[in-house]
Parts: sequence; structure tokens; C-alpha cells
Amino acid sequence: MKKFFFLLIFTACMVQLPAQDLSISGYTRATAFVGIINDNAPTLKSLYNETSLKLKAKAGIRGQAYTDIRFRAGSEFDDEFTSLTLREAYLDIFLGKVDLRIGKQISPWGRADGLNPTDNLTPSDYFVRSPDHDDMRLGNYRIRAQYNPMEWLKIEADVIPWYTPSQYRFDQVDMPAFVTINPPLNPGFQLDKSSVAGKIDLIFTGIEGSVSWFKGYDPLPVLKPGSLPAPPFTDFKLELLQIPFRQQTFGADFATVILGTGLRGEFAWKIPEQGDSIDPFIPNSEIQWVISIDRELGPVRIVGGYMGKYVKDFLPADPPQAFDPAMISNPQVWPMLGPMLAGQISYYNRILYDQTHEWSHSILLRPSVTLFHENFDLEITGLYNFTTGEYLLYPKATYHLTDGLIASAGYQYYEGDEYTRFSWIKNAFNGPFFEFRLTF
Amino acid sequence: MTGLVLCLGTAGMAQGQMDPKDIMKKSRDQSKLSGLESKTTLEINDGKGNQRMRVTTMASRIFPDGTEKRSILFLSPADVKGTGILIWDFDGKEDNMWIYMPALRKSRKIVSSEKSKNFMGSEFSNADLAVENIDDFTYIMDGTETIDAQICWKIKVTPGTSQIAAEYGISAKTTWISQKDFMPRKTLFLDPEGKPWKEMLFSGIKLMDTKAGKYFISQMEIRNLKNGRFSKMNMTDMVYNPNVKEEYFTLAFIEKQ
Repeated sequence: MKKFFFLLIFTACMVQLPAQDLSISGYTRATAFVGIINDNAPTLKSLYNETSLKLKAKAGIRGQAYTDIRFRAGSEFDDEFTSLTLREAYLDIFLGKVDLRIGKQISPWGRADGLNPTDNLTPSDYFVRSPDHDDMRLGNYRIRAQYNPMEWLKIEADVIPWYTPSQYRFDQVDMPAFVTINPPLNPGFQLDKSSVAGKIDLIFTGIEGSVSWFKGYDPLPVLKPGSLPAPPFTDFKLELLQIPFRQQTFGADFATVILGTGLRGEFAWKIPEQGDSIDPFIPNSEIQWVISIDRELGPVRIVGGYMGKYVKDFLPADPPQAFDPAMISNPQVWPMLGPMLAGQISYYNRILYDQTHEWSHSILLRPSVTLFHENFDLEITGLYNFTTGEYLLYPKATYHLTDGLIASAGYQYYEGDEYTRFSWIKNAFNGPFFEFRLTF
Repeated sequence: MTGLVLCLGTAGMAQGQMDPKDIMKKSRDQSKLSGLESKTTLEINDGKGNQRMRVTTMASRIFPDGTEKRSILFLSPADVKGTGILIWDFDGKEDNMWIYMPALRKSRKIVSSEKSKNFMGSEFSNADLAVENIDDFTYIMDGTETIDAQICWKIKVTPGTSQIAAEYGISAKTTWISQKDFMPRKTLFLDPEGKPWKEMLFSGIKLMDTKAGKYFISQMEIRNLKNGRFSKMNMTDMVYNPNVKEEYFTLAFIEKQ
């Protein structure tokens, strides 16, 4: 109801403005995702229609307001739903060399392709079913100030006073039946606990880049055990909590063009905050780096990238043994139950944060071609993790039926061994999708 | 106006003995405006009755160091609305080019597209819409012809090397330059096999800077002689302004739109 009230107020404000200062755009789409799991018959994973209404109101040269409202109805993962989401709603205030953006917004960081380890400001919905990668991004409440003292220099400062967690559909992950995972806890508003970030962009003739810093809540919360059930465990249930943790990231990125080839790189050193004692559920400090290139060869464009990670203070651990609740009928097991479950949950966190190995290396390759006078696009994304053996194959074709009306189809195929992220998500994601979208 | 009279008078006296390369250079130089704002409509026809439209606004300015900066913002169709392109065209150095796409939410430094590649799915190539390097080609005078009631020099233009020919995707072209205002009226492109490929017509030529004698071509039409596809580009709302705001040529500007 609050959402509808906000929409009403916003619309009322908009209609007061002169017509030339207000623009309305958006899209309506019909999307279907089919699930194909091993030899099982195909299932319908998602079938929905969505309308995005984007409103932009300009107030001369001093400011503008932008809102993206999404209405969605259909079914997803066997659940029927109707939703109204305020994806973004912010004000831009232009004060000469200083620009302010205040409100719910999506402003990602990072110049590399494939992965942006410096972007700790943008939460993600990892299980959103959409062919458009941008739909994975979630808006959060943020105050952003950008200062452009010179053409080659941009200084940015950000404050995120209210934590918005990334969304991970653990209900779609193959977990033991006795485990329930609660929604992420929100630490609420505490001024001194706001996430803060700063970035300095340098744009020179041949090369551009930035150095950045972030301190605050990591968008993706960790899994922690709730209260353990007490003996004699007649009806054994384990409740897991999603708890946000704080971290600090030092980052840098660059982009340049050498001999007709775009070259980009990104680096981030993430240091999670520990309390007085080491919390085994919080991920280790890690260093991530990405190098990517892109080049056009006639109608073909190739994007390639290498992503690496080093986990500091890494202690090897084997994947946990399958836990059989029946074994807890033996009282001798009871003292070991806590450490056993803690080890298992810690390992889940290692999977979640891609910290199952001290060093890991992945490559990305995305050839794409545009044909028939830019009416048909075909791209294939391939991702392979040399360390864990996980891989993704994602072909996608898009045809422009007319200006604004496109049809697209593709296939997502994730594969990975047990106790890997791709093995967690493959049953939820593997299969073809189809979409018609009309943009207005 | 005095400048224009002098300019045309000089052209009239010299037209008999002018070198074709000098004509091409003069033609190029006098279409380089120090600052311009305009709206462009690109009409793409597939020759079978289907039509697509692209509308952009453009601002350009030549800075004292010779760098020409351009920013292009897409107004329609809806699926590309909000896209912005920023180009810093340096003399003797590789261009800097960025694209801002609303779906990416950040500016991306990109490689300049290949010269022979079609511009936005039209029959225009990127090279057709850019300022050519005069030394990339050799020029031969091939007499005079009348186009649109204008007496024109007919100049055969050939790429200087096979590499340049491959870059532009042509084997040669013929350009008709008006003896009156030194502006082109027509260009015929030959494909790599030497066969007629595309024909481009220029009209709506306007004197924008009377002091420096600078012209602007506001209408171009190109027709593919092989498949019947054709595209038209029409510039409107043109404002000559040597002091176009510097902020138009920044990443912050294209990201704000």
C-alpha cells in the first residue's frame, strides 16, 4: 500500500511539470524460462510479464528526478506472484562542478568485463530470471557526490546509510531437508555504521583509471547457525541466518586502447572486519584481479578475460561429510554436533564467496556478431574456472522485429562438481529462455 | 559576407588550374566548423518498403590545439534512447571514444569502429561520416560535369595503399565537387572488385560561418546500387556556435542525459 501511495504522490508531482520537462519511457516484456535437469522432462521455471515505467523530470540545468517502477506478474520457481517494485528513485542536483545524486539508485563501479571486484556498493539478485544482466542489480539508498574540478579528474564520495542485502535464493539450492535459511537480517540504521566509499577517476588521453576505497557492509551476507536445537533432538531442525558483515576494499582499475584492442583491468583487496575473536563464518581477506580485452574483427566482436583470486591465510578444508540427522540419536555425538555443523556452514560460506581454494583462476570468452544491418545479434558467453572445474555456456540470439520490438532466445548451462556454486544453481538455471520485449 | 565573396572570387579565378588534391583539401577544410549543435534524423530503408528511424542530437567543437570533440546523444528509437557517444578526435593520434549505455550504467572506453563498418545499420559507413585523411588517397582530375545545376570537378579518388583500400572497404571512388562553393554534390563508391557499389548525394548545403567561409551539408542520401537499400541523413536545428559549452564534451555530460 505504501508503494502505491508513493507512486501516487510521485505521479502527482510529475503532472505539475511542463510537458517538455517530463519524459516517460520503459518496456513491457513477456518472458519464459524452461528448466531442463538431466533426463527429467522440461519444467516451466518462470513465466511472467513485466512493465517498467521510467519517469524522468528535468528542472532546468540544476536538477532532475528519475524513477523506475516495475510491475511484474506471473510465476517463478513454482510460485505465483504479483509485485510492484520501486527499482530506482533519485534526485540529481547539479551544482556546477559538483553533482549530487540522492535516493535509491544503481551506480556500479569497475571498468573490467565479466567481473567487477571493486563494486561493493551494488547489491545483486543472483536468482533473477531475466536475459538482461542489468536486472541482477538492485538499487540501494545512497548519497553520491561527484566533483569534477578538471576534465581529467573526477572525485566521488558515497554514503549508504541503509543496508540493502544481495538476494540469494537458498530455497533453490539443494540443501538438507532439516535446514531452513532465514531472510537476511538488516542491521538497521546507525549513522556510524553507514557504508562509505570514495573513488578518484583519472582520464588521460591514452589511458584512464581509478583508485577506490570502500568500508561498510558487504552486499552478500554470510550464513551463520541460529540457535542449535537441544537434545534429545526428536525433531531435528537447523535454522541458518544470513548475517551482514563489514569489510574494507581497496581497489583500482584502468582502461586503454592498444593497437585497436581495448584493454581493461581491475584489482581489489578485500579485508573483512573481524571482532575480538576470529569469526569462522566470515570470509578470509582476498585479492582479486581481472584483465580483459575486446576487439572487433569485421562483424565479430570478441571479449576475453582472465580472473584470478588469492585467499589470504587460507586453511585447507575438505568438503563436509553428508550429515545424517539419524546419527544424533547417539548421545556420544552430541558434544561434537556444534563443531560439526559449524564446519559444514563454514564450508557453505567458502562456496558462496568462492574461497574453497587458496588460488583460483578463471577465463571468460564472449564472441558476438551483429548481422543483417544490425537487426540480429548472436553472442556466446563461455566461462571456465580452472581451479574448481565449473563452467558456464550461455548462447543468446536477439532479433529486432521492428524498432523497439525485439525477440530473444538463449540457453543457460551451468555445470560444476558437488560443493561448487554452479552445482548449487544449475538446477535452478539450466535450460532455455524466450522473451519478447517492446520498448517505448 | 565580404569573406565569402573573396573566397568565391578566388575560387573562380583559380578553378582552371587547381590541383585535385588541393580541391579536396579545401573542400574538407571548409566543412570543418569550429562549433556546431544540431539534430540528426537517420532514415534507414531496406528497399522493400520497411523503414527505421534514428534521431540524435550532436554537438561538436574544434579546440585551439586542433582536437575536435563531438558528443552524440540518441533520442530515438526507444531501445537506444539515452545512449551517448563522446569522441575526442586528435590530430595525428588515435581517437578517444566512449559510449554510455543506460543498460551498462557507466561510460565505457571503446575502440573506434572500423572505417568500413556500417553506421548504425545504415548504408553509410563510418568513413563516410568522418573527416578523411587527405594523404590516404591519390587524386586524378577527370573533367567536369554538371550536378544539380552546379558545374563540378569530377575527381577520381584512389586509396594510396591496399591496406587503406581494405580499411575503407572500397577500391576507388569518384567525387563531384562544385566549382562554386567547393562542396561535394555526389560520390560514387566502387567495391573491392571495382564495380559501382554505392552512390551518395549531398544537398542542403548551408553557409554557416560567413566570416571563415565554412559550409555544412545538412542532407545526405546514400543508395546501395547492388541491393536497393538506401539511407537518408537530415540535419535540422543547426546552430553554428564556436563556443559550444565545454561540458558537453565530458563523460559526466553524456552520463547525465
